[in-house]
Amino acid sequence: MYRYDDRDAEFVRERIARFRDQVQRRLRGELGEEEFRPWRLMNGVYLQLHAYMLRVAIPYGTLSAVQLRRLADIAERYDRGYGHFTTRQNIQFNWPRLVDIPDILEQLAEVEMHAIQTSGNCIRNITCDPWAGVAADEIEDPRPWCELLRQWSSDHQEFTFLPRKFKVAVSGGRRDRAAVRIHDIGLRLRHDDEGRTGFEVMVGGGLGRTPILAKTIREWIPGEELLSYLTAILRVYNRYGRRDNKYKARIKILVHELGTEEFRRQVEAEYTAGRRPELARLTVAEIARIRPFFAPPDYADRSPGTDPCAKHAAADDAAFRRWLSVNTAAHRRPDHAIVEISLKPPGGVPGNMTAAQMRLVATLAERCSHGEIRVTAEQNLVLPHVARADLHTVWETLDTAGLATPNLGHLSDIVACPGLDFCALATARSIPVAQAIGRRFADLDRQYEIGPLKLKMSGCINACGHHHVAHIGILGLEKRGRESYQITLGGSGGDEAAIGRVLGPGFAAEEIVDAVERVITTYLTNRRDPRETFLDYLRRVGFQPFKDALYAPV
Amino acid sequence: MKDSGMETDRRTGTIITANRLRDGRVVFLGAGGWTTEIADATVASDEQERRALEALARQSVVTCEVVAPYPVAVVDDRGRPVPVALRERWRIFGPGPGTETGYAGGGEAVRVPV
Repeated sequence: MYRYDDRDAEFVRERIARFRDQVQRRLRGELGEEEFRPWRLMNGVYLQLHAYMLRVAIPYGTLSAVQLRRLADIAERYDRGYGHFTTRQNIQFNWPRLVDIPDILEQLAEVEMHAIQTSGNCIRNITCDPWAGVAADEIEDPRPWCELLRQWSSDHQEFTFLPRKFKVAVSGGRRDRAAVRIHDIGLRLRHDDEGRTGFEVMVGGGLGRTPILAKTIREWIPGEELLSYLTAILRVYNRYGRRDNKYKARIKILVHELGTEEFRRQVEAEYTAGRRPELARLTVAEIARIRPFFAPPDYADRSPGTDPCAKHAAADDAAFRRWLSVNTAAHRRPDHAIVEISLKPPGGVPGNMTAAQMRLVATLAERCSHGEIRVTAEQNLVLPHVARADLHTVWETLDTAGLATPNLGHLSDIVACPGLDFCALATARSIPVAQAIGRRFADLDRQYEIGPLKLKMSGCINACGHHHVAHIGILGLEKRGRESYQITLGGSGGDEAAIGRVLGPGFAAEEIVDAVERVITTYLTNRRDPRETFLDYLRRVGFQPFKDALYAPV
Repeated sequence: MKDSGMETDRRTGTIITANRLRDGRVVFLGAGGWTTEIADATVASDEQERRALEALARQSVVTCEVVAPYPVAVVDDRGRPVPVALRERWRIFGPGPGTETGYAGGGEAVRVPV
């Protein structure tokens, strides 16, 4: 993992000292809320529905055991004993007091964490493939590039007051696990014919009230030119992005209004004019400095020949076999596995984790995953370096804490925003609907029969729950003083990214679980065979059978 | 201050809510000052009373007691003011049971409690 150098540490310390002073001045009345608000937002502090909320950055979703344990301490000492992992690989605390937040930031800084740029109209946390560095299909570990972008974008004087927030995702695998096409800038790492590292550059993706998939504006930019090229994109956006209308201020609107070709032309012109050879040299040097931090850990030789995992899997241990099959993935080393920890127990709150669970996973990571944990955009955690020989122990340990639900990629692996239970922007609740769907479909055999399925829900049009790119998406709205839940079908993230289509009028809170059930029954009843996935079936037959099931008069 | 209430025909009064500056907690303006109990909120029954409450709230902003006060339309529910708007009901009565620690009991009903 990356470790702060003196300059990083000093930068974070200075920011905390400055924010502590700003909080004190606010409490004394020397700063009004209008003056203070931009500063608190730039330090990750929102005023939410019930209290302040602190969003802590987890750079490219990578956490150490020490950091996770510190998050547990903060959850217990300053919050209500839990944290909420978000769809941007961050963690949120829902109840901190403003007066405590400078102290919380100090404690985060001790373990090289902060909350800088987790809000505000700036470049936000860079997100990444949660399997970076270990995926069997990886072209190259994208994390050194993510770290480069983190450093470049932190307190970037030119890009601190953009027209709107700005999100960047980087994927280094042959499969896109970073949802690059729903980001303001999506980068897919590629090698050219000579093996040089570069990136396909996509721009103008985003969800919210105007969901748009990012367009490729460059098939390949050499790695050393990445910062010059991103600078050109951000300069065009900063110059022409709408500042007069919040709802039209994201770069996706600019790309859409200019047209991809014209936007590309302007970026290329800016890139050519502003290209700085010294930036390319600096990039090469900095990547060389950063890369060793992400070197593979010192894997002990764990010969599969003595693999107790195989013994347990062969034995009559169905629960372990299910978990092994659903919640683990191929590691680049055959004697290791990637373990996904589901934060979606039946009836649970998607992405929530108690302090006790955090400590358990931290300890497990130290014992069995070289002290490393990842956070996924689907609100789960990953142990990236587990020897196959340790898998049974890891499963048993996770199971004791309710963290071994074998539902990854299945219906109850629901993504959900905090919704109207917590969020000041929300128009309907998400969590209880996700809980109710999770309980209705808790039967694992039924979930496996349904097969791979992504259900995501958002409690307002801002779409933090990514419902637009779900196979089954649910959007909570308010209609005449009551919650109403709209279903979208056919969305998809990753390689086959697609925006889902609204099926019809919304359903009341009491009706939405039954509506999802009818969608599932329609698919199960009519699919060709169990190999035809929900998405394949939908693409074959279209929306009509689902409309009939949901809206036809009985 | 912008009124967050919606259904004026059901309105029986207005209360003033805000967040406490130091800790962000939801508070209501009552006879004895700011309180976390909506039952203790002062209900303005006409425009004049409402303006008087708003003036008090603005003063509390100046003295750094609260942040972002605004009026909320309420109806009377057995002697207790209850907000008309869905968002305000959840702001006051939420978060719902079982939405915090990750484990919820109970059945499948998803109901607004008021």
